[in-house]
Amino acid sequence: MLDTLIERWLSDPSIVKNIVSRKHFPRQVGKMFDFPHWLHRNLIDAFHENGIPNLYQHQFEALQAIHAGQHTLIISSVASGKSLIYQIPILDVLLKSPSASALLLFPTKALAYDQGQKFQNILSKLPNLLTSNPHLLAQFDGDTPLSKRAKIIQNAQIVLTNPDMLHHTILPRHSHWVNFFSTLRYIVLDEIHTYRGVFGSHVANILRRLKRIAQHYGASPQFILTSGTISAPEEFAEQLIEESIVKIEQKEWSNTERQIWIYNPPVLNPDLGVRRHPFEEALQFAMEATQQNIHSILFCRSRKAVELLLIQLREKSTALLEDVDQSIQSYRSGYLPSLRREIEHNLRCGKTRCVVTTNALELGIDIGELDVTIIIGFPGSIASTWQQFGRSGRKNQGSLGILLLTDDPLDQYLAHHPEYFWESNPERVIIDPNNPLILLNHLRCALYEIPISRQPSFGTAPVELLSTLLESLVFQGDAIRGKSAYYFSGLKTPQSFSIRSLSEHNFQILLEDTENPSPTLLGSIDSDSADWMVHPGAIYFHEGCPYQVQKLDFDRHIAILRSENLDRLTQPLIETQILSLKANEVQEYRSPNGDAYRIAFGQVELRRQVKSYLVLDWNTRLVIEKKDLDLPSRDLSTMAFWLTLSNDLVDDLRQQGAWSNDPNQYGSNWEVQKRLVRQRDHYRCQLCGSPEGEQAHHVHHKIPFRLFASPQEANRLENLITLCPTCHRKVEGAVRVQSGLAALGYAFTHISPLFARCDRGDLGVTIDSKFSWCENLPTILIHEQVQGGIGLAFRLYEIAGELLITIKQHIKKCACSEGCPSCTGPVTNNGMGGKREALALLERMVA
Amino acid sequence: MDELHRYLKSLGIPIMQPKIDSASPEPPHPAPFPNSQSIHHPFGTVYVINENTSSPKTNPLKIPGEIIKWSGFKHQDENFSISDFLFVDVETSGEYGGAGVICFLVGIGKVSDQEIHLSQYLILHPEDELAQLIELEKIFLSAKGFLTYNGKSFDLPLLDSRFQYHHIPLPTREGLHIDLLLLSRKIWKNHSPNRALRTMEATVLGIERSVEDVPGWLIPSLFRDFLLTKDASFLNPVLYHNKMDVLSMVHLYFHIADLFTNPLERSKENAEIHFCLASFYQSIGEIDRAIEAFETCLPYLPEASQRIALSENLASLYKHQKRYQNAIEKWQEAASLGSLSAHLELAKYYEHLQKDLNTARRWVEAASKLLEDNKKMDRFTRTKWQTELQYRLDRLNKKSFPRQNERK
Repeated sequence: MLDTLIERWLSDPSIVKNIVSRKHFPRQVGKMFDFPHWLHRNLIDAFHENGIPNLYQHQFEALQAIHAGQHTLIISSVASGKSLIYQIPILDVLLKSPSASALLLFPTKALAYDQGQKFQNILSKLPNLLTSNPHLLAQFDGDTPLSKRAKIIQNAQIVLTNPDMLHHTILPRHSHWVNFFSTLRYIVLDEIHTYRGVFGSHVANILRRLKRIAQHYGASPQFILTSGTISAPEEFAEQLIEESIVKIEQKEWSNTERQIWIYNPPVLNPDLGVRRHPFEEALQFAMEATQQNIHSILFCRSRKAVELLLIQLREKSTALLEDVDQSIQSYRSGYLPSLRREIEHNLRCGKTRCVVTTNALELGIDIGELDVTIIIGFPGSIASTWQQFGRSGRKNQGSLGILLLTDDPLDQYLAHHPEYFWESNPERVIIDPNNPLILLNHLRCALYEIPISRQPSFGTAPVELLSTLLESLVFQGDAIRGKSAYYFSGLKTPQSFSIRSLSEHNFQILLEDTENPSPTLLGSIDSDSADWMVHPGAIYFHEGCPYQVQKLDFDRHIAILRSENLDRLTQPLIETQILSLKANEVQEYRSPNGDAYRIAFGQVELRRQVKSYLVLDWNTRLVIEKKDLDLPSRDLSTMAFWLTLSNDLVDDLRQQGAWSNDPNQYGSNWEVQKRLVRQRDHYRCQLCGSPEGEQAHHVHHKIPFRLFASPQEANRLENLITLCPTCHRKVEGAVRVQSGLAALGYAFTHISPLFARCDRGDLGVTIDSKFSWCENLPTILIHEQVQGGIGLAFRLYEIAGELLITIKQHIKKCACSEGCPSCTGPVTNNGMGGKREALALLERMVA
Repeated sequence: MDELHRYLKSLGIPIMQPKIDSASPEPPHPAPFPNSQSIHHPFGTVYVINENTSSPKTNPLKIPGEIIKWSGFKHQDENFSISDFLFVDVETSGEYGGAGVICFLVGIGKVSDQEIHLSQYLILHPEDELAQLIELEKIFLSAKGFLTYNGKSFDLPLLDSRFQYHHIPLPTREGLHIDLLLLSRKIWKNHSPNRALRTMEATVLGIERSVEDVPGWLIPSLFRDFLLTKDASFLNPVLYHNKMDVLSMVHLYFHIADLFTNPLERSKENAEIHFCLASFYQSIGEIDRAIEAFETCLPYLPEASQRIALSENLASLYKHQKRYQNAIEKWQEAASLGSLSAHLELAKYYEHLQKDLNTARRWVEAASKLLEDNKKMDRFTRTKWQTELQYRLDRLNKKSFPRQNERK
């Protein structure tokens, strides 16, 4: 069925012309293996009964490695039967030694729930295990009611939880779990590629604590790890668990035939390079597939996009499908767990044929088998893209993946250089378990859990660092020395800090209606998004229905909504500003031509505030009004590193024609030309046709101004066109001229995480050619995202020289001509990259 | 090292100036406390502070059977002497529950004919914990059981977790455990604002503490202050607090035991405690004693609603003992005070046991009248009663006029 549809699409010229690149991955039927002979007979029977007669190669090899006692890492795509690989050894050991136990860690509660259900399924085929201990398997996390916890702590032998729960609750009370820890045989870490950056560094330290405790009770558990595709997975896994591992990799998608298309929506206006909205393409593909009972999943980049696409999809499909609300559903964070379970169920049993989602469904939650993946906009990482493509694919059947590109420069770069996508390695996962501030916090926890020897050891952390940090704890009154060990002497339980930078405290979204006196719970929202997604007056979409926010209560963490008609939507205007910047240390560098640049590190206070929002008409998307808001700001006080260029350096570049950050001088005839063009175009936007209102429309240079030798030439009437502000913004995105400073900033943002040993999301960046905090000089500022900072900025400051040299070599070596996503940033087809200018800049900064 | 220090400092980590002696162990422990005796083990030192006080009066040592029965002990016929039991109270270094919290002070009380022997097991450093636990293990194993105040959810689980941490088999597992807080909640149900030991001391036992005492929540920080300064004066109020806790427990135990062995006189003041005791007897299945105590307090109950509830409860106890005449009296008493359910019970009694359908019907009709007159009842409850009464009336009619029903 899918084949016919693919054929149809490929024979339609209006579709084929937009496929900029496609690849076919043929089905590779691998050899199947019998269950290994060392497994308990009952277990083999149970799997046979569950419809699993034999194993794939990667499953078999992994089981053999685990049986040999090796810590094992399994790399495979989603839904490749990797849960089987840890279920089997756990159940086998339980059948052979009934008191054994296993700990399973999942990055999210939803995933733990999903895997728990699967595990329960198999367990039900092994009645002997359940009769001897009915509480054998349990999910233990923040949602577990207090009344059930004691029973789980006493009885559970297979515990599914998350790193947060381990950190906050299980490890600090390990003496309640004596039976569990003293018989601990396996520790399973699922989807380890999600443990990246600061979060991953925390998780590595939690594992250090876990291993100490297991050892205290005489257990030496074996690790079983699974990961999606990343670069250098072994290196990362070994850094995470600090043990040598065996890697078993699944041959790519061995059981599914797969087509992947990179699809660029058609150009609407060739002069301006404006393309059709990718939603329209997505609608077309998804509707046709759903109608033919071909199941699809659509990935959007934001929660709002999910809702808007859902509305359009349902609207257009009403006439074509019988039960639109069930056939087409949305799935994202913020929905109630019960609703999510229902949608997952509907997907598995085929009632839902099309699901619109965010990366919430990127991880391995079981949603049954789907045929088509449509990704709307490059998700930002190669690894995520492959992970999302991996969500479709039926056993022994074909599957189609479509990457729909947006107007974003990065997306448009991929359109013109698809080989970049095919050939790039997925991203690396970087962690730094020995970051002193993270380590210090976990050392305090470890000390609370079990005293630490005066010849300290904690994972592979250097002894000198450990001793110094322990002495610091003594100095802070949190530790005291004994004859042979350090002991905890603090008053507060030290495990109260959060290991994720996102706040764990969600806002509840309550629905008010006139019939019902008490509001009903609709969903939730993370507290970092509450102010811009559910500010008073905002139109909030939930399962494709519009609601208007009546009240946002920051004390009680609730937002109260009321049902609304679908005639408007809102857009928050978020202002971010630097409140203060204070250098702790500064270093100046000079070149033969005078001052060159300076680097600094210190404290920064950033403020984000939603001060107003726009109300737009649903149909025309035109602004109806702008409304002010009075909301508390969200302040981040943290550490930053910044690099400021000197006037001498900029002058030098300017003389060489390698500085395009100065504002354009549009020439003496500009005002006259503008008026003439608007008159010629009848005061209407030449793209969307909207007439001028109170404010004059913009006049746009089709070929960028900077690319002409003189203003007169650039301002020729045939190079000018009238556009409304909205279309102007859209068009400018397509023809972008990047400055050298922006290009350097881009390179900085992409290479710094390697040096700071963190994830890209742990750092924020500001690039300003007239930075008011540094005498209006061009500045690149990189700040940490964690409140208070954890030394990432300081690290960048310390190794800035080395960092600049690396960046320069990296840009130089890159084979692209004007810039690309892996050096100075993507260049749009009609625009111009800043690679040359960035190199000229670096040439003057480092040898 | 200097490089590392500079780096950590610039991250804002407090670093002490490296001293030459910073690697040496802590100074020796301060001088022991008066009356204390130190016990040295290869893995630490525990200080035991002993003190004997006299009991105000001679107390019987046999633990009342009611308490044994309530505690759920299987062999209830066995005689237990309180002198074989330990009164236990612990002081901790932090909030309850975590592995980093130790019981740096454990107060143990033992009673003999006329004396209370108090032993406080104190450690001055967390590293001495194992020594303390080994000593405690010895005396715990020699005891028949334990008395605590809130020890079911605090003291004993905490000690257990420490024993488990040190891989010592739990010495508390076999013994009988009587938690006086749970018992007090039964006996002084509505008494005073709460059942904190301090409140019980002041309101029931009439004990007052000196200014030396500190509130319990302050104790972890006092121990920490001691650890950081080695100034033993921080611990004096803790020792006093712990001693008073143990002594109060002993007094409270004897006070409760006395209630079981020497019943209080019948009076208005004692009515409430008689009531609670009666409920207590009922809960452990001592029905005769329960009835006796309920009857004692019935006349003193001030409110009609209380008298109704109690009469109905008594009636049902009598009914279970098949003492129907007493039961009818109590139901009638409750019915006269306006109880609908008493009416219904009477109707059931006359219908099923006396086979007197007319009297039964009269009670149902009286109930209907009562329901009609009651204007305050909410709609939901009223409907429920109406349904119930109608059902009963229909049953009675069916029994009285079986043929009519057949014809219909």
